[in-house]
Amino acid sequence: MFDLFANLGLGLAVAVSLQNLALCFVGCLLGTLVGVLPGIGPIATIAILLPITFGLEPVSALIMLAGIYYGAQYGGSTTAILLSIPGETSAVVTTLDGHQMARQGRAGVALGIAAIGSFFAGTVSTLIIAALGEPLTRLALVFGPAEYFSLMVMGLIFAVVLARGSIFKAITMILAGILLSTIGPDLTTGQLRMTFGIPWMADGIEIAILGMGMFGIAEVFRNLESRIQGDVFHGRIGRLLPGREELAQSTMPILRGTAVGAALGILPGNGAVLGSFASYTIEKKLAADPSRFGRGAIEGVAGPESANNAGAQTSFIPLLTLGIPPNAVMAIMVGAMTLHGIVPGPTVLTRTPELFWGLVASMWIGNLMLLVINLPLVGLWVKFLQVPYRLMFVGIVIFCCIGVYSINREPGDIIVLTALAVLGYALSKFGFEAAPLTLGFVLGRMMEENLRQALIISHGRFTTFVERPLSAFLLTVAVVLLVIAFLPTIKRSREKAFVEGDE
Amino acid sequence: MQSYQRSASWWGLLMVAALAAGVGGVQAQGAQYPSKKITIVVGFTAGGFADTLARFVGQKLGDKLGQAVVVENRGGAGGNTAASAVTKADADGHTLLVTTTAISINASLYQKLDYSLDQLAIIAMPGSSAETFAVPADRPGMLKEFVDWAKGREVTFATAGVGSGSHLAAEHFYRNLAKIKASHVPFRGGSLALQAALGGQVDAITASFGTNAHVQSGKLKGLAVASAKRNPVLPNVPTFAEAGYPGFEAGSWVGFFVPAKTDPAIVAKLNSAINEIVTTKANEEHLTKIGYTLTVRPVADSQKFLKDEVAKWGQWVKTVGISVK
Repeated sequence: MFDLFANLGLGLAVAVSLQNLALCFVGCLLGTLVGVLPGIGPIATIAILLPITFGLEPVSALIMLAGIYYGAQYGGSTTAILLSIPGETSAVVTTLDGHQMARQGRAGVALGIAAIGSFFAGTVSTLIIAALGEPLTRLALVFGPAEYFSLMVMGLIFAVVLARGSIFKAITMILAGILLSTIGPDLTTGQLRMTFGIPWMADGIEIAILGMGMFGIAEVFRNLESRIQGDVFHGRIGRLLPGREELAQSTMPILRGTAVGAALGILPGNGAVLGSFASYTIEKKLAADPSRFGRGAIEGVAGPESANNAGAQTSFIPLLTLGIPPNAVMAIMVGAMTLHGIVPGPTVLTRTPELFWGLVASMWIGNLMLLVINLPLVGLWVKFLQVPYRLMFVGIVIFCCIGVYSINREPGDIIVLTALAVLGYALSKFGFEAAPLTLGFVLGRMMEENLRQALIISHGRFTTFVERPLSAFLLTVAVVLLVIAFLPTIKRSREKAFVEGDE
Repeated sequence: MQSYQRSASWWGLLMVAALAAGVGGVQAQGAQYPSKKITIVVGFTAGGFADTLARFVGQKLGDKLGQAVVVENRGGAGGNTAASAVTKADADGHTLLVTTTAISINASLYQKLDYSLDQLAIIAMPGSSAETFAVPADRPGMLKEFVDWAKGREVTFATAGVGSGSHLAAEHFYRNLAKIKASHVPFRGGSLALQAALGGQVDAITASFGTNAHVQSGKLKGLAVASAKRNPVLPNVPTFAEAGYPGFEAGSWVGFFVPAKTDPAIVAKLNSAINEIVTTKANEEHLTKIGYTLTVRPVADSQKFLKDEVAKWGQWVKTVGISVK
């Protein structure tokens, strides 16, 4: 326990340097902005801004990029409450009761409780990361290629089961992502695969480019179809601080939301989105009078908003300790770390403790900043919604192109970007999501490598995956999970849960 | 657009030189150098073995020559992308390539390259790091013991990847010198290989950079180091010669190159500037501490060393029998 605070102390010392404070602030500010603005999300923003961080120290770059992610969780609720448009997917359920509260003239209280819940959740999950960081890193060294492979199989199955919508489509996208990841040099022979003999294809597709194409530009295409803009909030925001009774009503939902969100964040799948849905369902089930939900119940804002922020932050745990990204945002963070010469995984903590603890401490500071950025300045953010979309589209496309080019100064990468953007748009038209593809892409490469390493080490025996106890355990969990997901009763209630949230 | 501007200013420079000297002399060009910012193209991503040295030396070089130095990372295809790009740059000494041993391995490893080493001129290879063979703490920690122990079983060894210097050196040792069966477990990068060795997932690791701290702390045992002298940071780890395998030397180095047609006077000027930088006391201490072994060679010696390296790695590539089409 003492170690934990000593480590956080080390982290604080790194995080409060003038440069890191400034970058943390910039990250949170940008995060809030993209959170408020519908149509551009944290994945695209992180991917787009990644190349700009090249000149920075790795720790400063990561502090800023992380700020964008959890900052977006704060910002997303603003649009959800005021306009009933989710600024982020993770704020979808906030629109239900949050916007109702706004219509009843309690917009300020909804915003206030969302920010307070998020801050509490952020503080708790910072402590969770700090507490779990070291033990998990030690566990990671016990993991050999066989265990990593089995862990990733389990992770992908989790991602499938917990995905929103069709299981079939989620599996298809994960497999497509795995296929895309096989472009490039073969691990054991160095032969180039599926590069068509083109030199700039030799290393396969860069994850940052995949992110910018599938999320950045494809989202722009999608947004061009619909007019999201229009009804700017004209109502009164009212007092921001909730009253004593409102606070009392929200306390338990905030605690439960934080717990659910933090747990789901660590698991593969999109913890921030799942957490908010799960929390909403729980609160509705536990409520004395469920009919209040959907009519401005403060619990329906407090719980989900705490959950999404907790989930966003704890999803850093598997990335920083095991080197395995649990969701698409973390997959892009893998790209960010790699471009800065850092290999995600247990060596982050052992080799560069100041980076690990600096990042963790910055999250708490960031949450504090977000409280200030969001509450008093809420009027300013609403103004941003009036920026005409046609101006933003052009900016995003140009930013993506410059960003992609600056990674390797390779014109061919722009062609890849364009192809991926078209692909991403086409897929979304048919109801396929880009997030499982991105996850499959990053995990696929690691899975293939670990599979082959495990087989070399076992001298070709496939039984190694069930002979090693930890690996066998992980595979068992995966199988059980898959069976459960396909059980008719569970399948039905799973679909129902998501439908309820979508209403 | 950029290349147009670059060539335009180059023509301007040439005309001025021609007018002033009447003959557009080679001497004049060397004396004026550098006349604008210098770009260092690094063949690998930021933060690695090549990049760290390139940025450090680059910054000091800028101070010394009175021009800005910009470092660009153009990773990809084992350093080939950057090498190919620099061969196409103006041969005026304002574009430098920084790459590693990989360039001498790739000459034999790749069947098809869109550049040749003849299109580049070596300036210097100031920093290197010898291949170190190490084992997890629960394996036999003396080279002879390890080889005897390995004879009964098919041991596994981790490296930073197929075709890396560590891979080739390790295969050469196991196949040709120790004559034991060993399976190569390739990883993407030295850091992941190190993680597997620390966890005892593999029986041994060969790496040129990064094992030192773990051997010092006792988490890994150093078997031997493939250099003429012991590594001052690891005084207890013998050289291969001391452990019974004389003449086995291999290591990664970081080399500075310019396009082949560059004026030899510029190459010489850069060579002596880089040599001065790495022999300055403070710089020397800093670079040694991070793990570089510093070597000062005049241009001619650097050229000879490069030639020997290409021959040596070419031989080992053949031993392992790998080739990238």
